[in-house]
Amino acid sequence: MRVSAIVVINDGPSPTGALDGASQQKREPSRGSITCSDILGQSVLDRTLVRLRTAGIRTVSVIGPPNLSSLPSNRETEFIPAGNSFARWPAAQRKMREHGGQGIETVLMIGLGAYMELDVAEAVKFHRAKGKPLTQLEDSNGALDFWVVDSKWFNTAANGCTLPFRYGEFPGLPVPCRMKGYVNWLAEARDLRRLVLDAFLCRCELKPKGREVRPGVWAAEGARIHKLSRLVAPVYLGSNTRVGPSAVITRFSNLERNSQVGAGTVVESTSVLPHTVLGRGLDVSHAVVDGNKFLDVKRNVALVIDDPKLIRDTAPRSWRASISRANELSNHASEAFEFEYSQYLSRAAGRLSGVLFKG
Amino acid sequence: MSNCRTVVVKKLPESVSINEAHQLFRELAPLLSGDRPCLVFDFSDVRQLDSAGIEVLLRCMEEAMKRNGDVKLAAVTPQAAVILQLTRVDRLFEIFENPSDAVESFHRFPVQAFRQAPASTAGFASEGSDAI
Repeated sequence: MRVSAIVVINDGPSPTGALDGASQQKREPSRGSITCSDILGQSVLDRTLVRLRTAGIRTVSVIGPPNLSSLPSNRETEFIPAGNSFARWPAAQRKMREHGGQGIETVLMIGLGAYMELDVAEAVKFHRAKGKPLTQLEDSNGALDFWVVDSKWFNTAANGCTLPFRYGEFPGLPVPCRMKGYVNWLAEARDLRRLVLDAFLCRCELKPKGREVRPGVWAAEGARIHKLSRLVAPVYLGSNTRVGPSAVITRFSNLERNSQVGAGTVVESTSVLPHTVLGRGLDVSHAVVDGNKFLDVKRNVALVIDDPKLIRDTAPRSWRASISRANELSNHASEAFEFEYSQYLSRAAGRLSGVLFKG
Repeated sequence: MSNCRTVVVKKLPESVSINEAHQLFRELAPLLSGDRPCLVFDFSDVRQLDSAGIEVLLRCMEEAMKRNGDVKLAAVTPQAAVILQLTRVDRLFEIFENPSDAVESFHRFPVQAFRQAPASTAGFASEGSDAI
């Protein structure tokens, strides 16, 4: 019996979601769903696709934003771009009919927002044992956006229904299926931090993508760590990350690919998302930093910081324009202030350097 | 994983302050002069720690890092924990509940030690249990 999967990327609440309104006002493009962003070296999307392939599912369609930062890298995975979530579910509906037309009998419909470690084979087995056309997986916190669907039923009896499926739309459906695996809903920054912690502490199957260069310190290819920096386990350094002199990366922090930490900066229990630059002499703890967005998890405060000397985004071309605009603006500011500020940062870095490496 | 040849556990005295610091560093210097020195400070007796003691810790860390080794702390008493946090030196060291976990950490990452650490150890290894 053939089984396929359709993965719809939910843009729903992301760790930096609280700042979306602010970023729109500033006309900065969104960095997209957290499920497409690296967490310990690999996105939730990629990890989900690997899990599906491991379960023996060969036909997988991914419906998501056109600017996916980590495109699925498998020829058996079809990627269908759809601008917003309103367009994605109708696209999923069309794709479901297509899968049915190819003779696939069971389709896994996944609205990807949470990180889920579910036993797919067990879910399909449960679905078949119940003999009902629609099953919805759930964990201890409630129903997940994960359905097992009979494509024949979908193309006949359920023809015209709108996705995602809702309770009450069809009598007695969907059949709930309680799963045991690890689930992190990734609804807010705190959840992202919890996922990183759980991974470091082996509470889930998520493993850092890279080499364990010394106990509790993982580094991906191209990570460059200054000789005078200090890493305190457990930490993760993604590919092409840079850690400056006298910087301290300590306990349960993860620097994702292409991120940089300036001289003398201390990063503690913080997630630095891809392409983020932290300036010099900063003290960043219990936070999630994504480009110029800063979320203090302990204070539950979200900020957009437009000073590129503090934090900034390095990479995507579309972002460069906004950064250069910010630079232009800051150039108009008082030159005296600029000078004083850079002096202050140098002094801060120097002080830490002095404390760490005195003599 | 780690190329540390042997891990030395050094039990610190009840007081690590200006009077003992100089002597302590002189005792430790030979341990830190080899290749890849691996040192664990057992804090179980420490009741008094001052800036001179902190400086000894930092100097030991610096010397160990120069030679690709490391210094870790174990069994930190609440009195010492307060000073380590006050001076923000706690974030520079891996800190374990007991010396055996610290020794083990030179060879593999001790997940269980981080998981089980009680919050009473002043938020060092207890990061894993409550701090996000």
